[in-house]
Amino acid sequence: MNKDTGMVVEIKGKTCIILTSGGEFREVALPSGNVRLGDEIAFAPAKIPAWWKPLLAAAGVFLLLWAGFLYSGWSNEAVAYVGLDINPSIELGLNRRQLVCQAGSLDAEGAALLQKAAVRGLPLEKAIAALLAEAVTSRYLDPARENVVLTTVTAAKDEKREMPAEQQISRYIENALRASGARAEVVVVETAPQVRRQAQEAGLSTGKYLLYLRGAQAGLPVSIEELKEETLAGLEAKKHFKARDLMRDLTNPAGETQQEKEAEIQKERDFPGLHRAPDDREKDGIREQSGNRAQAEETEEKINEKRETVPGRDKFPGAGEEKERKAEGGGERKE
Amino acid sequence: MLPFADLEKELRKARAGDPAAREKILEELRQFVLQVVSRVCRRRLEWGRDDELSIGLMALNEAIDRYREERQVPFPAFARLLVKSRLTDYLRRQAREPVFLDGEEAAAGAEIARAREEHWAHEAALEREEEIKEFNRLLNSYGISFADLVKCSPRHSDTRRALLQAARRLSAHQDLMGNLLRTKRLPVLELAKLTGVHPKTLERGRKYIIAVALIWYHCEDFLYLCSYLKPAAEVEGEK
Repeated sequence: MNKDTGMVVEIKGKTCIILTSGGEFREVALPSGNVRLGDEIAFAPAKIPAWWKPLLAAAGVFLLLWAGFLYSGWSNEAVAYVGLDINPSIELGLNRRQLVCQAGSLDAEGAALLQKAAVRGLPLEKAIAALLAEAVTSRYLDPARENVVLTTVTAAKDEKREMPAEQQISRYIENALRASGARAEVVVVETAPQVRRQAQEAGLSTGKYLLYLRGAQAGLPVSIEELKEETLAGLEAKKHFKARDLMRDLTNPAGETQQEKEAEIQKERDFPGLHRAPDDREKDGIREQSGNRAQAEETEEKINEKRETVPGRDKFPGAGEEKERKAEGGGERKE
Repeated sequence: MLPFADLEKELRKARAGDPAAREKILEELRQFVLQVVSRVCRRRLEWGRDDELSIGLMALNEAIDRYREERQVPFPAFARLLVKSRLTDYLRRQAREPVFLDGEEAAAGAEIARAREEHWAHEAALEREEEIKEFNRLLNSYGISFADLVKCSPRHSDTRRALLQAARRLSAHQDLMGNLLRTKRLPVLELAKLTGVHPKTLERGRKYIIAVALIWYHCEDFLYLCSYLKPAAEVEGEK
């Protein structure tokens, strides 16, 4: 580094003030050796204090790491779940780039299957292909029999834009089945996040829970226990239904609205008329158009009372008056 | 101002054997010699009456030959040292103290010469130290410390040059400098008018300008500082 010189004008503890040949006053580190006022010393012109440089570097590295960590967390967050009910039930979490970032199973067979077929980090198509191929070799899917692959697609939150399309998944599965030579009934259903949550609470896979909901709606007696125990194909054979039909039946594919509908139907059955009662009263109030509803009811009661009592009175007193009137009239006419 | 503008140039010429240049230096520095000698003798002296002045002028002539630039002592300071030294020798002789220096010098010239040079170097260092202490005292009387100067010393070379120039013009301006010495305050607005530098810039470098202007103004007292600042100011002068 290019050295500059300066004349020492003041000596402090570890530094000294110098007047440089350029006419600048500066405080620099005191050189070793005996330095007296007026001595000319050499110093490095760059006077940037050394301590903040490594600090800045450390801060930069830290910031970079932090940003990277945040990004990976953001990009590795599951935005959609694809549930596969082969017989073991498997669920794959997809990140924003449509790569498998989570893989889990509720049963031991599923866990074993996942251990044999490494799917994390793969794109969905390859993950499905690997899983189905492994399922065929492990005899979960028997090429000799009719199988069912029930697939659900669920968004992690209420945003659907990052979810893979049903048709696409269905195509992936069919391709994979064709490659491994197995036949299966392929059903792909889109479900709402609530259904997946409820399924987790019930200890079922999303697909099976959906089947339970639909079965209940269609009057099919399938219990949660049965769903937990039996295979899908086995249940289909036993209860004489097709998962595909059950799913297709409903114009409105599961979700909160479906739940509400079911709840409503249930309520209607238990308390008929409960729903309508307040509405009708409201209408009465409007029809009456006399501000106070209590008053309106009162008048209504009076009218009813009158209706009940009037007929008797009507006949006799009314008739009597008529007679009197006639008599009077007759009298007047006479007079 | 004491070290006249072409001193270095004339000095080089004189050393190369130009009698006119030498004559010019002796002429220009007469007043300086008078000052130094008067200070040593502590009385009023007159040309043509007092031998001390002749001794001083002879010493100045000797200084021209003996001066070496690489010693990093400005010529006036060196001349002052030599004048003082020769004068002391003379006064000692006058006091009839044993005189052996000359004889010895003739005998073992080289060794003595080296010893004397060392002595001068030592003296110069002492002088320099004393000069800086003196400058510090002067600054303190203006409420300025060296630490202040570090703080307000302009970092940017353009600004620094502008302020150095302003200080130089201030020190040469009788009225403004008198004003500064009297009130100990920098006449910012007047100086801005004189130099064309923005008052804000001047205000920011106020202490710096005062310090530098004081060095220029008292150049005779601050020979070392003055000669040290000279190159910086000359760069500006050329621009």
